[in-house]
Amino acid sequence: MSPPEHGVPAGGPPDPDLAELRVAFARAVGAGRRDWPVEAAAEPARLATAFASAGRLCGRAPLAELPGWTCDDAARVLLLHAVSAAAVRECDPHVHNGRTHPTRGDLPALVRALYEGGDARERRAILRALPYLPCTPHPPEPNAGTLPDPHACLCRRLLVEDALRTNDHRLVAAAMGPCGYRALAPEAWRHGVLKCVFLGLPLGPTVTGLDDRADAELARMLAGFARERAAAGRPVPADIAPITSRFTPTPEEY
Amino acid sequence: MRIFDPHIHMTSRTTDDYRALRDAGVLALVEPAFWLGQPRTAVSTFTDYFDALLGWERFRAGQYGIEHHCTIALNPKEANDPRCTPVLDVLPGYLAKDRVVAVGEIGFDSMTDAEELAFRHQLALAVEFDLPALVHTPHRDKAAGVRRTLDLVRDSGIDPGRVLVDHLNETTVELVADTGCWMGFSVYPDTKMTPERTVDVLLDLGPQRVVVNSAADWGHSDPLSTLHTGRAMLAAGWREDDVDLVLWRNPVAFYAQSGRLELPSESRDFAAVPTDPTSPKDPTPARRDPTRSPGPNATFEGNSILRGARA
Repeated sequence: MSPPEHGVPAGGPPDPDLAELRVAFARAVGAGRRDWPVEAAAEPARLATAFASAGRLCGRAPLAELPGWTCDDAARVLLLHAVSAAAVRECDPHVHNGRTHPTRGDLPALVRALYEGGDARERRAILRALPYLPCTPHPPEPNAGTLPDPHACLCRRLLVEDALRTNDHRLVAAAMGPCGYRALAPEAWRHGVLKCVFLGLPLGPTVTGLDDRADAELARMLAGFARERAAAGRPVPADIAPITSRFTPTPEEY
Repeated sequence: MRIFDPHIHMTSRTTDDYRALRDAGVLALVEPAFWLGQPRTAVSTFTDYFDALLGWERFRAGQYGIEHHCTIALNPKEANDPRCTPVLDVLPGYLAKDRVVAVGEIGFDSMTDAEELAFRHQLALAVEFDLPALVHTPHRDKAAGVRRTLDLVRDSGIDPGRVLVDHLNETTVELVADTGCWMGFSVYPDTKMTPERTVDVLLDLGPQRVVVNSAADWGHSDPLSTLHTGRAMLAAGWREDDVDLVLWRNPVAFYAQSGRLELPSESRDFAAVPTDPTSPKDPTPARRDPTRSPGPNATFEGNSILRGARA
C-alpha cells in the first residue's frame, strides 16, 4: 500500500486545511493579531525574530476547534506558509516595497535555519508546517534522484530525523505526524514508532498512517520491546498488541 | 515557602537536585549562561550550550515541575579569548527567544580591555532588546570591579532598575545600595556568602531590591541554599512575608521586566510557610500529551500557565 502523494494520508489524524487553520487562529487571537502571520512575512529581514516571538505575541493556548493545535503553532505555520507563498510566486529575487523576499530556491535553507536556530516550540511548529510548504512529498521509499525537488525533500527528511534524535516527546511526536509519514524511510519510521512507545506517547493520536505503514518488521520490534518490559515486570503499553497481532511471527521470533 | 532561584547552573546538576529543589518549593529558576569550567575554543560550542539552555535543560526542569528560564551572554572570562568573541555576533538571535529573561552573565572577571568591550557591547544589547541585565562581579579585586561595573552601567544608559548586580558581599553591597540597581547575594557552603551572613546584611539593608541565589554549578555549591537562607531569616525573626519578598516576589519582579517569565499558576496559591510538596517518584508519566510541556504529574500539567505575563 503506498501513501497518497498529496493530501491527508490514510490512517492518521487529519491535519486541518489552511482555511480551517486560519479561521481557528483568527477566532483565538481576535482582530488585533489575525493578520500577524501575513504582516510578519512581509518583513523578511525580521523573520527569525518574528518566528521566535509568535508565542509572546499571539499566545500559546490550545485552539478549541483544532485538538492538538495551539495558538503559537498556528501562528508559525501560517507565517511560514505566507513566506513560502510569496516565494513561490517569484522565481527571481523578489523586491517588493524595497525589501528582498526569498525565492522558492531559498526556502529549504531558510526553513532549516529557522529550525536550527529555534527552541523546541519553534522546531515543533516547523515540523508541523512542512506538509503545508511546497516541498514535494515523496513516498516512504525515498529515491531522491527521481524526485522533482530532491534538495527540498532531503532537507525535509533531515529535519524530521533530527527531531527523532531528541528525547523531547513534543518533537518526537511532531516528527511522527504527517511530515514523518511522508519523509521517513521505513527503517527510520519504525524506530520512530518504537521511540514513541518508549517515551510513553500514545501511538494512535501521535503516529500518522500507523495502520498504513505498520509491517512485520515493526511488529517484530514491538514484540521484542514487549518481552523486555514483561521480563522487567513493567507494564506493556496496550497499543502494541493490535500491531503485533496483525502480523504472524516467524517461529524463531517466538 | 515558594522560591524562585534567580541564578543556578542546572546544566551541572543531577536529577536528584531537580527533585530536591521542587521538594523545597523552588517552582521556577533562571539559569544564566556562564563558563563551563573547561574553557571553550569555538563559537559552535557556545551555540550548542545556548541551545541546550533553551531546549534540553528547559525540558529536564519541566519533568520535575520547575519552570526553567535562562539568560544569554558571552561571559567575562571567555570574552578574553579571541576565538570566542565572535559569540557576540550570534547573541541577537538568542535574545529574541521565549524565556530568555535577561542578558547575562556579563561583567568583569579580571577587568581587562577585552572584558570591558564585551561588557559595553552587551549592555547595549540589553537596551536594544528591552531586556534586563544580570551582572557578575569579580571574585578578585571585587570592590574595584563593582565600582567599574557601576560606571559602565551608568554610561550605557540602561535603567538601573533593570540591572541586577550579583555576587555581592558585606564589603561591596554599600556601593550598589544607592544606585537603583538590584542587589544579588550568592549563598555558598563556604565561599561567597553564607545564609547567616546574608541575614546579617539584610538587617542593615532591608529586603527591598534584594535577591538571594544558590549560583549552584559544577563546583562545591548547594542548590538548596535559597531554602537555607529563608529558614535562617525566619530563625532570625523575619516575617514570612519578608522571606516571600526576598525569595519569590523580588526575583519575579526583576525578571518580569523582560515580559518573558512563565510562572505556574499554582505559585499564587503557595503560602509563605515551609511546605513539602510531594515529589513524583517517577518523572516519566505513563502517557504524555505531545502539545504540553513536560510537567511531572497530572496536577501540574493540568494547571494553566501564566505565559509571559508581566508580574
